[in-house]
Amino acid sequence: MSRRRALRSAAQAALAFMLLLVGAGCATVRPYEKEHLADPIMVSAADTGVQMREMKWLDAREGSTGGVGGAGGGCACK
Amino acid sequence: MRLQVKRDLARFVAVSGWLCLAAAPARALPSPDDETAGYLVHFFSDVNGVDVVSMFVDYGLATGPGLKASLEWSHDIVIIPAIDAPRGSAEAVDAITTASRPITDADQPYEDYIKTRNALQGSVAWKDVQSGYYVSSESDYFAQMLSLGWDRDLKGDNLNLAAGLSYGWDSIEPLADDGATAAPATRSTLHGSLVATRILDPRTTLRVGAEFDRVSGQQHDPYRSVNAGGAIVRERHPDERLRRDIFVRASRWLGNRSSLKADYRLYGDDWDVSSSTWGLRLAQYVTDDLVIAYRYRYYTQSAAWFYSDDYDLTDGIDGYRTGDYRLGDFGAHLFGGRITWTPSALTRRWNFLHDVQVVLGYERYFNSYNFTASIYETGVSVSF
Repeated sequence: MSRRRALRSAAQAALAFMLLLVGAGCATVRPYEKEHLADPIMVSAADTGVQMREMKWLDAREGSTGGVGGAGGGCACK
Repeated sequence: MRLQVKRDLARFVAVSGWLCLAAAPARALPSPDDETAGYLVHFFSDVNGVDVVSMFVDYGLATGPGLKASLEWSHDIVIIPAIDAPRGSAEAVDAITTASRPITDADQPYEDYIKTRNALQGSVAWKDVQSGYYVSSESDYFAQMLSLGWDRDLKGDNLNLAAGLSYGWDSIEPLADDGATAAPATRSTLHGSLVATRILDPRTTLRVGAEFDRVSGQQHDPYRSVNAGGAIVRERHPDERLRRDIFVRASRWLGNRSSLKADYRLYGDDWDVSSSTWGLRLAQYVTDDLVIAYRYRYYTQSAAWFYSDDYDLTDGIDGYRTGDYRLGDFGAHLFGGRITWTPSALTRRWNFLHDVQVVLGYERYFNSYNFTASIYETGVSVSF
């Protein structure tokens, strides 16, 4: 088995484990315990704009990034 | 010419930024948290001399319980440097292959090629459902997209599930290039995503997701040529591409007012391109108003089945050929930093301002093809 294929299998197994973890009933965190999770440096939504802008230029530099439509600029921008 | 363009750009950026700042306090304002406005500027400059200036202006409004609307306008100016070689010469062809630009007339190789793109994106969200429309326009490309999303909090707001679907359709009308004009073409993209976010404990969240895309239509650059079988011919990619990826991100609050985010993405498509992306972000409060964030990203991908450094036949491989290094085997590193300043003195002085943020960022990108680029970001966002 090539190194790349072995790496991919390991990554898929890790992701499957993560999925199980997400679906499983972990300890419930109550609203008053979410102070840190609500901090701007923890909130994932705060990164969305940054990631969308980043995807815009990475789309023109990498073969598997972006390309989800709506990016425009298929021609001389790349 | 190039210097003049840069001066004009700098003036435009400066004036627009000050207008945005000056206009904000003058607004007639309803209740707090109802409106947000932002202005951001990106400057991208790579080792080939290609510069891209992007400006983003956004506005958001919450008009009632559960109802939100947002609008973002972006404006890109792309400057590709002059080739300084006669049209049709080997040097010009090589330069076009690298820079991917058309040469319409005999004088154009000696001038910078400048193109602009305007894009508008609007979205409306009501409770758990969100819909959006995107349109962008440039001299040879017109793109539109419709999107629909849904998300819901479950298990006492400890689990969030989100699903999204979008359909984009593009119209490509190449400009005249080296005495010929490629035929107009279309491209469509169907995109779907499913994301789950779970709170694991009071300091940790975990997000996993999967995406797929089906891209149909022209997917090669109409201006790029490739050396195949001893001849310079236009590149040609398959018209269909099925892409899918899965990703995971863990976010952890650390004890000293900092957070660490680690993410991984695994991608594969039916062109045999597969990739892995690892990322790390560390954000740290320096003061209550100042956050410094560092990040590193590593990317590696395999080559498409029809990619070759040296095609033996003019037809390439099974009729397909590419001069696009993005379809080759390579790795890339990205690292950078970002400072976010939230001047609380301003919000105390003008109590109609709910939040003001000023950002300043720098990133450096380089890959195994010796391509390097610098990305600068600056901007301000205001919420009322």
